[in-house]
Amino acid sequence: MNQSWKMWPQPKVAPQPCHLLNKLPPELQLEILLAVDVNSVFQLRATCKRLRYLIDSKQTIIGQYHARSDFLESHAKRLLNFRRPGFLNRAQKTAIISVFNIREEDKNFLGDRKIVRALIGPFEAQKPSTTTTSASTTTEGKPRRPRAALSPDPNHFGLRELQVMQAQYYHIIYPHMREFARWNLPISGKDKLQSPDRILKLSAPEWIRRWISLNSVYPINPITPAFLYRLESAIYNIFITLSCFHYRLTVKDTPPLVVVNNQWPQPASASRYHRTNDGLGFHYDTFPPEKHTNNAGFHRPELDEYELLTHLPTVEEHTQMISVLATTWFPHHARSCRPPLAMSRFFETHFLCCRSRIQHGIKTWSIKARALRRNGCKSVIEFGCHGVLTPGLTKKEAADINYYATDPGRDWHILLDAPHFPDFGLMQKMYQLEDLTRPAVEDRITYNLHTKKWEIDARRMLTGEFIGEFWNEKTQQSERKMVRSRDNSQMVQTEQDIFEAETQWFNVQVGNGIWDEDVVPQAVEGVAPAEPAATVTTV
Amino acid sequence: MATPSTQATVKLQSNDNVVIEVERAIAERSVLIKNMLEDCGEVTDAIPISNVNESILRKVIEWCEHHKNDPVAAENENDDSRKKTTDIDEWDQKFMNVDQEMLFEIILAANFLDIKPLLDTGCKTVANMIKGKSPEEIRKLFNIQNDFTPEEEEQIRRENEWAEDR
Repeated sequence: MNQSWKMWPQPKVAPQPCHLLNKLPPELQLEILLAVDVNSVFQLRATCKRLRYLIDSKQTIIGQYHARSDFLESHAKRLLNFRRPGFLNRAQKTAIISVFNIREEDKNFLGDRKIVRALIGPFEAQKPSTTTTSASTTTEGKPRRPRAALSPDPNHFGLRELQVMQAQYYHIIYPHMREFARWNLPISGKDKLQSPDRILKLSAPEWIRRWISLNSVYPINPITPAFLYRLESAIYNIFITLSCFHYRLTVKDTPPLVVVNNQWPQPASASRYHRTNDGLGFHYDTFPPEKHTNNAGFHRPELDEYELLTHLPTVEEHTQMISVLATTWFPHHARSCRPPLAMSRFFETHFLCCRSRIQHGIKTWSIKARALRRNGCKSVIEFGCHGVLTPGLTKKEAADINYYATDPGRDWHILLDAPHFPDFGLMQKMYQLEDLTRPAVEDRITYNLHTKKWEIDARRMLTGEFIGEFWNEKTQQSERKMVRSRDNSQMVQTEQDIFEAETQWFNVQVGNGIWDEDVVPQAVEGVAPAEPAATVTTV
Repeated sequence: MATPSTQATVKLQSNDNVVIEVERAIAERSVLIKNMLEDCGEVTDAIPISNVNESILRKVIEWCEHHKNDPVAAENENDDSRKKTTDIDEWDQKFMNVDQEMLFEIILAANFLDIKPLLDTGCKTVANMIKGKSPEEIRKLFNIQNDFTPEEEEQIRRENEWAEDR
């Protein structure tokens, strides 16, 4: 060969093997994944396919670990911090900084907002501006009004936050509800379910993970801490509820069917709510107000068991209640008043009690539960607005509630609330009855069975009306789709079809700027429906 | 059931056939060895530690010697609590200040010998190495080859956006 030999550059160092991947077996790689912080898990996931596979295949364990240890707790604490400036001490903030791997140079700027920004990166990643003014046009070519800006006040919870929350709920929580309903958790061996709390621990991280990862898909503008706080509460409330449902469904010895809505009337101090909602609210009381309130309108704790038992609901009331609950909590099924299968099973096999304003009924509730059990019910599940943090609730009362909520030997106490009206029961539980005060967020939305429309409390017209429109649009769309299906002789419409159609609807609305202020009706008065008895207040 | 042994030392044989005599109390930091001694009673022969070479075994013994008076972790303490922090005490940090190959060998040895605190320390050390690094930096650190296509990288970037501290 005449050609002169062309030298390759001399290697500076010998190629090194990847010890992390090649030396350690997967179980030890997993150990390391459990030792790194949450952020690093994501960074590792982006390094190579093998690590991505490992993380993805072990994500439940990893997520569970992180959620059970620092992640979830810090997450909650951060949010609490926004509601209560000064809630976190220096050590706690340091812990948060550590957990979330906030850079050293950022520490000095770590105001509350900064912490949240670190937390809600996904939202900001899509649309970095906090006060977007859209100059585009709607589908009809009309100039679009400026988008509702998120309030700079972290404690403010306004229209925009509510819009986002609703979208979150609809597109993130709801699919998980369905998934969860189908999910068969192991009930033997090490993973034996001890209590709903146990299920919560097993499953919450997955929820959080999906919730967050899904968020990154949607073009959601920055979100205030108040929003996150509520969303998180909503997720947990719903999650806990489903956990309880699922738990009960996996327990063979199911109790007989009784459904009671034990929604207490408002005390005199809240009578305006009662009046306001008389036309909207669904007070499915099992006995008339005069029976369980004193002359001043307050609850009478001295009700005896006889009175309670004589006011158990009739079959018709019971059936109506199921429909109401189904349409309330599963509005996507409102067109047929058909709850998902798992929910149907639940309703058919469990005693269910709805109640709000728990502070007015702890004692009576206890009596009632005992009475019902004596009467054949083996389990009593409470389903309602927790109300733990209702202003005026004493620590003792809160402790009692917490006791109900946590003692697996007692009746189940489900912390459940509407997504737009979450309560903070879990938060409170996590913080050992910290003396939190819930702001008076009194959004009310009702579903009128006669008009088949969502209606709202006049006090929060803008936000409520929006929600009403949101769901009505969705319901109509579903109905139209159903008609089309029938036309096409497709009598069976799968949930997946509906979900996909609804997702598409959502995306179109986002694209059309439905989240803009201009789609929200400006009316403030006169939303009460004609048939008071046929509406339901979401608990 | 073997009778409890009172022997003061035990011999450990590395996989390169080096026998190291070590105080029993120190060797018993390893749950594997402890169980073996409890099952077998008095052991005069060297216990073969087949997965660990001499240098690593000495290193592990050094760690066990330093930590011989540490309280033994409770049985159920093996999941969450022990990993909750990535803090490593100063001595351990120095102890773990070795090249990567040895670090991972120590982790493997700790796993094989069932010495959970040492395993945790090793994992935490690796975790601290990873902490705060970008994927590219992690690849460089561990010689990981990026086998993602640009599209996959973009996809992962999108999926990870939420975790980024912006």
